[in-house]
Amino acid sequence: MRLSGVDPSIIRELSGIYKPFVKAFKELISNAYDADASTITIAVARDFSSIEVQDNGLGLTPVEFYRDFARLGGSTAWLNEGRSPGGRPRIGYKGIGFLAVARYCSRMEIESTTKRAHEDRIVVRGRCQSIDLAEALEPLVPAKVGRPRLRVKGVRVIGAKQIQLSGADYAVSEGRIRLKSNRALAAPRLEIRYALACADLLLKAAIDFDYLLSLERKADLRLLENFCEAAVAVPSKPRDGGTKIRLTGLKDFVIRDLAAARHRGKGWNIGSQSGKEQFFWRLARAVPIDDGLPDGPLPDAVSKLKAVEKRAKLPRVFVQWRDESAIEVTRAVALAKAGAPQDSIVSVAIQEGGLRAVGYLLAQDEVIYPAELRGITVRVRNVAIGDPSFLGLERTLAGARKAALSQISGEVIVLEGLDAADAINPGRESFYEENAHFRILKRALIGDEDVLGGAVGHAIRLITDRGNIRGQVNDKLGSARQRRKVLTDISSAVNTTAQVDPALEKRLTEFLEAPFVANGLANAKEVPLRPAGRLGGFELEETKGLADEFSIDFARRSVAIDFTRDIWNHSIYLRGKYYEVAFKQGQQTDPMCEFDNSAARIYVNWAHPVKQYMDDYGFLRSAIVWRLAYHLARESAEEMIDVALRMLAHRAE
Amino acid sequence: MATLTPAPAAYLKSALSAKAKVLLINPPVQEKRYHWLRWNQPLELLRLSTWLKDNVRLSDIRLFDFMFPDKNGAIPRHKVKETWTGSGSEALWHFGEPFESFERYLDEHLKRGWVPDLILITSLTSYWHAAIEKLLLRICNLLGPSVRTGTTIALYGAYPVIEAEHAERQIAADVAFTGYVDVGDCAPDFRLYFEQWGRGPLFFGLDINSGDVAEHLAMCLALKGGWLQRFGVVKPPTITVAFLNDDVCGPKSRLAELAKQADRFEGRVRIDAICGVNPRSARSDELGMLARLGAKSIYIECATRPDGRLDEEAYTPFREFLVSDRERRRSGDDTELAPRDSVTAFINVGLPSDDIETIVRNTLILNQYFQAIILKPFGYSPDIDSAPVRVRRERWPQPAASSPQWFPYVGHGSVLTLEDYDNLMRWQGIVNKRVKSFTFDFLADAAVPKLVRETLIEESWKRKREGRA
Repeated sequence: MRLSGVDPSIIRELSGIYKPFVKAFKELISNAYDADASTITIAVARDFSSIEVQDNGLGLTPVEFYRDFARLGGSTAWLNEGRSPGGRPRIGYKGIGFLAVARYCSRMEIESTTKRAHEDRIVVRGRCQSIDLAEALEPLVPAKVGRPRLRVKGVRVIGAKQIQLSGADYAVSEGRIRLKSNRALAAPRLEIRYALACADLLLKAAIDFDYLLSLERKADLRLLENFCEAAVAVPSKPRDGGTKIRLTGLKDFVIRDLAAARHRGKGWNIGSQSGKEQFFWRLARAVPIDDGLPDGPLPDAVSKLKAVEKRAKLPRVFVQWRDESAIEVTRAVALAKAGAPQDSIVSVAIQEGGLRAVGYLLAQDEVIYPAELRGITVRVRNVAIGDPSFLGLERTLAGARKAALSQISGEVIVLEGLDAADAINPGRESFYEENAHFRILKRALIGDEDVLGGAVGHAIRLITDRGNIRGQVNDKLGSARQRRKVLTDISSAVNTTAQVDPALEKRLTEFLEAPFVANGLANAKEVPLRPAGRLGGFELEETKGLADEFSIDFARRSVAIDFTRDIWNHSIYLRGKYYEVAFKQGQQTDPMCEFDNSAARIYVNWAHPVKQYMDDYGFLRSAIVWRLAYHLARESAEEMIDVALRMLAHRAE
Repeated sequence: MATLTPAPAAYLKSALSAKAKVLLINPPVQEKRYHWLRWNQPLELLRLSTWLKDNVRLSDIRLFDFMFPDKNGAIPRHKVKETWTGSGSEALWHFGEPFESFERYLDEHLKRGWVPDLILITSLTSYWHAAIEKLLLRICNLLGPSVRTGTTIALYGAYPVIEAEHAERQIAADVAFTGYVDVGDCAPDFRLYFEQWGRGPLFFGLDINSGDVAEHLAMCLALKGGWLQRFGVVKPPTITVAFLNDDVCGPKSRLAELAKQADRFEGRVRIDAICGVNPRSARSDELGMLARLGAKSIYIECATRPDGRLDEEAYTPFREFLVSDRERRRSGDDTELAPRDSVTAFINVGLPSDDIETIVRNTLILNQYFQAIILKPFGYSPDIDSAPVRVRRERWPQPAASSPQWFPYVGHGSVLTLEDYDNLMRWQGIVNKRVKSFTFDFLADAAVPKLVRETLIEESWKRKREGRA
């Protein structure tokens, strides 16, 4: 067969557009999809010597094979308004998809059967007595095979005047048309409409890519006759319709990638996974299959997306990896975790200027893993346009807004528009800026050139707002935790110091039992260290029994904190006695701390001038320890320093 | 102050109602080093739990085991920072979960209304009280004044039994039990682990002297199998068992009965005899029984004469067993005890009567028979030291100082110095011929390699003694 008028280097170029291997391989799946297949099975050989795709689609007639496989640009997909016979919007229509794998393997073998009849027309030279239609269709279909299966549906004279001939003008017998009438015999050219019954035919073909790509630029095209072998035969047993494509002689770099082991260490991202896992992942993202959305209640926008997929009746794809059982390929999408705020899902609904699209963005509270899920996946005709991205926004943002992008994942399905039927779009990965639908989509998703907006802008605002309030709450909790640790440390320090020093222990017991009463600090105003009222613009509520230390209701803009938790506890256990620590707004001349044994309280002067030279926790520790050391020291400064330093150095690990 | 209570069984029966909530705690350990960390399992607490359920009809018992390993079998540890203050400091490690984990656990329970009526803290030794003291304070601070009064905090185990006067001074505890509950044949309540952590322990510690030990072993198999079935695992499990007895082949041991039932366990039991097999108790028969039960490694306790020299005769059964073991393996019999390098012999060190030459000689002798030798340090124990409390406090103001890791008899009866013990530990490494964990096991047992090996050992020690590198 001839590949007419094509420079081999162009074939090389076209195949090179599809990187990596899976992106090329998925074109074969797209062909199966376009053939209305409901089940597609992929089998990877144990030794990676071959990979096979088998579908239960419509199959190819010999004539279709010639047109769609052996002639570049000869695809008939543009017919029927770009839809498959089953009504699917066709993915491939330029007739180059099969070449995608040319660089990745040595040979492609095709077997196809179809239940359909091929209906077509052929123009032949006239001014003859008879036309052998079966011979005219060779070499597409051997005459011996085609003759009993041909049916002439009509003959027409082609010329300045089109004349439809009738049964009086010609007779048909076994694929031969005998012209009877004068007008039939005189016609310079005739168009014959025919139907070829293909239901019991098996097409077998093989394309030698190694040979094809080995040719130099501007090679003699006559040599190209041998790159494809095809044969049509009658199988011994009837077969169901469908096509099987087998790629053999996979290149070394393909096998290396497929057989790659997982990277050692923590691999959160798909790029760190094994070749098999990467193959599954990339295939799932590139082929038209359902998302792995769970059954059960889903946010509205997600449900709508699921409904769109259901209506599309997408095929199921199975992969049999080497010796393992076949596994259905499912497409992972990022979903909101249990307990996530409802507004984590940002709905996308575009209907403008001929573009109609639906979908959603997930604005998660933490970084999304794997990294390959971050970004927005746009699907046209059920196939993703490239990898998820933010349409260039990732290059223009900075700081917290850019960081927020790692917490966003989205799925958008284009229902109308963005076909770019007139443009070459071989990898379906790039859009041209002048495409009006693309500009509408971009504006809806990320806003205008100068101003961040759209669905992504909204998602970023949600994430940064939530991050702010969480940060403020965590600050307060962190402070409480630190204060609690200081009090626990002091408790342990006092105990340990007393344990090793019986004399000190005795003085401590005496002091704790002595009727010490606090002076000025007892009457000073309390310093509220617990948050109250509002926090970060959110209403603060005191709640008990929360599963965590706090919860945030973004819808109601309220924060609930469980103040019964130990971190808010200001009691301290000193050698068998509990004290409540109170923080007071004392005078600058008041002491740092006072003990009140009668009330079992320790007052800490939170306004003491020394505090400005320390952090809160260092001051709290110093205030209580020095005061206690003062009481235990029997009026000896040296002893006071010694006791205090021993206790200050202690950490309750 | 903690009240010393000699009869814990009577106390518990009277103090607890059937509705009482009890929290059992196996505390962390703060120590210089802890080699047998993964074998820390509170057998006495687990059996006490069963006893409480049987005798007090308690149903609400929870366990917090600081030493419970994570899913990968690792037990967390971190430096006790306050003790790492430079060279010469008595630097400690905290082995087990950090205190904060326990605080979160207890705080969570308190907030959900589960307030324990009794918190019982056990202790494996008398010298690991530092962590217990810190734990007591954490508990008291967490409970707070209003809850504390309703909760009894009790000390149990070796610490209050051996160091009663020190335990009494624990102001944060209410009771210190100076005796043990006679748990009889109570099985360890391993269910507590499954209930708390959703998985079982890495091994099941059993008492081989218990009359029902065979039933306990079968129970462990069934428990693990049942738990795994919840996760859809139908294959019968294999478990690791350790007999936490000082003398696995002692006079009270039920080893013989257990061995008769070996077939019952269908080869699904792996035994690690970590606590030692006393040479004077073990005969070839017992070693054969251990082999049939699935013992993969054994540790032989040290048997010495009154003068400190090795009682070589006591080791004869082991030598004979291993020789015949090799012959059996050659003949294809796979009921073997263990390859030679799974048999480890202990040499006791740290005792007041230590003599360095005797220790070295004993090591060399045992090294002829057993590939691995461990110098096992000893600290204070009433079995070897009858010094009264007053004397002990003069020597060691805190019981922690009597820990074997500190070689407490240096300066208190032992003529050896700390440097001597350091050298002995290095010697241990040479003897085991381990260089960066690589053994010279490729040297066969033929006469010439044997001679080379012995010469190497002799030369190494001689150089050390003469002060050469």
